[in-house]
Formats: sequence, structure tokens, C-alpha cells
Amino acid sequence: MKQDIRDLFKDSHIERKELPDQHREEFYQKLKASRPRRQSKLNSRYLWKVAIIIILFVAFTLTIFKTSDRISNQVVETPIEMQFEVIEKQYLAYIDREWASFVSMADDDRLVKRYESKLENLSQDYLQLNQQLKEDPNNILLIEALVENLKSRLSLLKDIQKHIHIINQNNEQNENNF
Amino acid sequence: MKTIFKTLLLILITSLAAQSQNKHILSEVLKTSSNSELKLNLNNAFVQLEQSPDDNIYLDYSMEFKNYEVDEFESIIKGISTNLEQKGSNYILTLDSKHAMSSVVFSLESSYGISLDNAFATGEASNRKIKKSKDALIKMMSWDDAKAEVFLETLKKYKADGTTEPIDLNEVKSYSVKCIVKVPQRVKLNLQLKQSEVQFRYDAYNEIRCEGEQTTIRGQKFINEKSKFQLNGGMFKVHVLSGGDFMFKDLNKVMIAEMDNVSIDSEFSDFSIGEVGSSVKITDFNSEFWLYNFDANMGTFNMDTEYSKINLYVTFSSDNIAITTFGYGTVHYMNNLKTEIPPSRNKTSSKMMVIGDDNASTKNKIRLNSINGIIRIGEDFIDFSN
Repeated sequence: MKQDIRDLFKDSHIERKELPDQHREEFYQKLKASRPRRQSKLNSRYLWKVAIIIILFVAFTLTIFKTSDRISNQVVETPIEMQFEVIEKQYLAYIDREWASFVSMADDDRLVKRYESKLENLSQDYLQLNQQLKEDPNNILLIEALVENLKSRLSLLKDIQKHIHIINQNNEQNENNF
Repeated sequence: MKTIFKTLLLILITSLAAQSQNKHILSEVLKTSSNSELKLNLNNAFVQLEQSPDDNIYLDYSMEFKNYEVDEFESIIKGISTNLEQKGSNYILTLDSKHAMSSVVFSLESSYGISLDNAFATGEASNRKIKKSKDALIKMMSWDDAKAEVFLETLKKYKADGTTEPIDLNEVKSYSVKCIVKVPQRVKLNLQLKQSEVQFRYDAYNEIRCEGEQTTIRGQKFINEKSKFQLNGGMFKVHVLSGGDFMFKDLNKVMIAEMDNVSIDSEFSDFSIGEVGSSVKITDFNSEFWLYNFDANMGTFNMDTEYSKINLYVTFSSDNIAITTFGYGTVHYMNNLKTEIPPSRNKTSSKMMVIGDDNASTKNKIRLNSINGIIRIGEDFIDFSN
């Protein structure tokens, strides 16, 4: 059976009450009171600030420390540089000794001059690399190049003496056969 | 508390990203013509050359730092200068750095110093040197990429009590350089290098003019008869060399797996050649050569040397190859036995020795002119005990 729903309330005896004036405010207050209280709000903000201050303080202190540490490192010679100086002295002494031995056994002035020039070039390279190491301490490429430079000077002199020894031995043997 | 923890973690991640240790330095695309030349002026630089996908040159330079403080790596970057000039369709790229550069650079810090004993150790050289193939030489060149790490592993750190400890590679400060230049094959390359390293990661048909001091060149194939290299100090390691003139002075290592149509003028260098092909000429003073193989169609190979050590691995069968030596004052070892040669009393060059049948039908001839040299010839190995 169809009927208009609005007609259902026409004969209604429901009492029409007027709402009190403060009804809206009272409603909001009740609603507010019914919410769970967020007690930690103030605390979390406080903790936030403290955490940020601590982080900034620690970061700032670390930066100052590191910077001052590096500045002092630039002035003082590093242990690696000091170590290298000791090794360099030993090696240069070996090289001088081998050079003297080579000069005494070589009978070809042109060969001696070419070796002199070659060793001088290597010595200049060494000084240049050493200077670079002072500006860029701890760089493995430079340490390796310095090691190679000293090693190759010594090995050059040893090799040429061995070479001359083999040739001279051969020539003496041949002269005796004559 | 959870919220605070999450926020702190977020701050940490953000700050790490802000201090990212990757730095971009240069990026360019350059148009070229058929006459273009790219000149690279490098001082303390590392450059990797690759083949361009088109006719443009592409430059891309960046660096990646590990374990460095922000101000430390910024100081390294400040020490780098770059300059790009254009003159018509020619370009000049200048790269300079205060710091030594390679593909990877390690910086080792130690409060009590490092032990260099192993670094200076020369090791006992083996008395027997075995013949090597071309491929074996190429493998040796590839292994070389890890050389810096290998050197680092030979070092040890001193502790406060004077004892040593191995170096932890993960804690060492390092930076890798990624300077990639992509070049078209038609572009001529002019390389002016000082204490630098250039790696060719492609088969280069470009005409290359290169002058280098204390420089390392690594390459796959260099194929151009007009190419000219003049290197003083450093290293040269290439798989295939076809055409060109090469001047090598004081090179720690020259390693070529295969070569033909080249002229080499050298002194005080150390050579390892995988295979000698046709039209090769070498003039040398006091270098050491390891010549492992000779191409079946080599023809005549000439060497003109003084105070040089020449080690040849040759298998003699029928009339495939013959060796003739000229000169004086030279010692010959054949299959590890010293061979007596009548001496030249007035130090004039003359024919000293012929090994194999040197006649008109001999396909391959090795002619060695040697003054005061040492020539060693072996088949599969050469002994040094004598």
C-alpha cells in the first residue's frame, strides 16, 4: 500500500520542545570532555627541541674537532713522510755505492754519460714527487711512485753491472782464445 | 617515543643524502666535423676514452668519494681545474689537479706509520722464464686494473705497541675518478699528458698524436698508420698495435700483445711483446725485450740495438724462420748454452751468427744488429742460471 511518508507525521502527538539557548555550547563542552586526553603533547614537543639541540651540538663539536685536527696535521710532518725520509737515506746510500761500482767497471764513457743523465732525470722526478707528497700526504699513488723510483734506480745500476760483467767475461774469453 | 625515533632516523637519512660523496664536475656535448681534432691537456688526470654512439663528443666528469669528510673531498674538488675551448670544430680540454689521479686513489692514514718492507721487497726472480701467448699477455694487462689495491695490500699499519696490522680496505679513504670522453672514430686525438693516465676502452682507428711524461696509456687496438706516440716514463699497455711511430724512453713497462707495421725507437725500457707481425722495426739503447711469438707471415723483422737484452722464443722447423745477428761485443745463449762468437778486434759490426736456414725461400727472417748486447734464444723457456 503506497502512502506519502510526510503524512505519517501529520497526526503525530510528539511534543515539540524548544532547545535551550546554551544548547550548542553545552554540546561542544560535552563533546570535548568525552575525547581521550593527550597528555604527552607538551612532553613530545619538549623532547623534540632537546633532541635537535643535542644533535646540533654534537655535530658542531665534531666538525670543530675534525677541522682543528686536520689543520694541525698539515703543519706537522706525517709519520709516513718521516718514515720515508729514513728509507730514502738508506736507499740513496745504496744507489751511490752502486754508482761508484758501475763507474769503476764501465769502460764506455758514452754509456756512463747516458746513465748519469737517466739517473739525474729519475732524481728530479723523485724530488717533484716528494714535493707533491708534502701537499697530498698519504696518497698511495705518490707513495707507490716514490718506492718505484728508488727501486728502479737501484735495479738499473745492478742490471747494467751484471750486463757489463757478462760481456767482459765473454770478451776476455775470446781474447784468450785468440 | 616511536614518533621521535622515526623523525631522528629521517633527519639522519636526509643529512646523509645532503652530504652525498658523489660529485659531478663537468658534462658537455660537442659537435664535430670530419676535420675535427680533440686536444686533451692533462696534468694529474685520469681519462677513460670510449667510442661515441654518433658524431658528437660527449664529456662526463664526476668523482665518487668513500670515507672522506665533506670538507676533505671538497678540498680535493677545489684542486681540480677544467677548461674547454672551441676553435671552429676543434676542441681543447684541459684538466689539471693538485692531487695525483687514477681510476681509484687511496689515501692511507696511520698515527704510527706504515710498514713499507713488503713494498720494497724485490722478490726472488725466477731463473726460468716460460714462453707466453698473446692471450696470456692480455690477461696480465686486465689484471693490472687492480694494481693499486694490490700495492695497498702489501702495506701494513703500525700500532701503538710497535706491532703491525693489515690494512682494512673498507676503512681506507678513497676516491674513484670517472672522466669519460666519448669520441667518434673520425676525430683526431692530440694528447698532451703529464703524470696522467688515459685508458682507451674501444678499438681506436683515430689518428693519435700523443706526448706524455710519467704517464700510463692502456688500450685495446690502436690502428692508424699516422699515429705518433712519444712517451717519457710511465707505462704503455695495448692489446693490438697496427701502424704508427712510437718513441719510448724510460718506460717501466711496455706490453703489446700483437703488433705490425710499427716503428719503435726506445731506450731504458722493458718490453713484453706477444707476437711480432709484418713490417716491424725496433731501434733501441739498453732496454730489455721479451719477444714471445712471431707471426707465420711476418717477413723480415729488424732490430738495431746497443747494450740491449733480447730474449726470443723461436721454434725452428724446416725453413719457417731464421735468425741472423750482426754487430760486436754481444753474448749469445742458444737453448740456454753460451755460443762462442769470434770477436771483432776493432769493434766493427760483422755477421756474428746465423740460426736456421737463411736462404731465399725462408719465409720469416729476424735480423738483429746488436752491439754489446745479450741475446737469448729458447723454444719454450729461457734459463738464466748461466
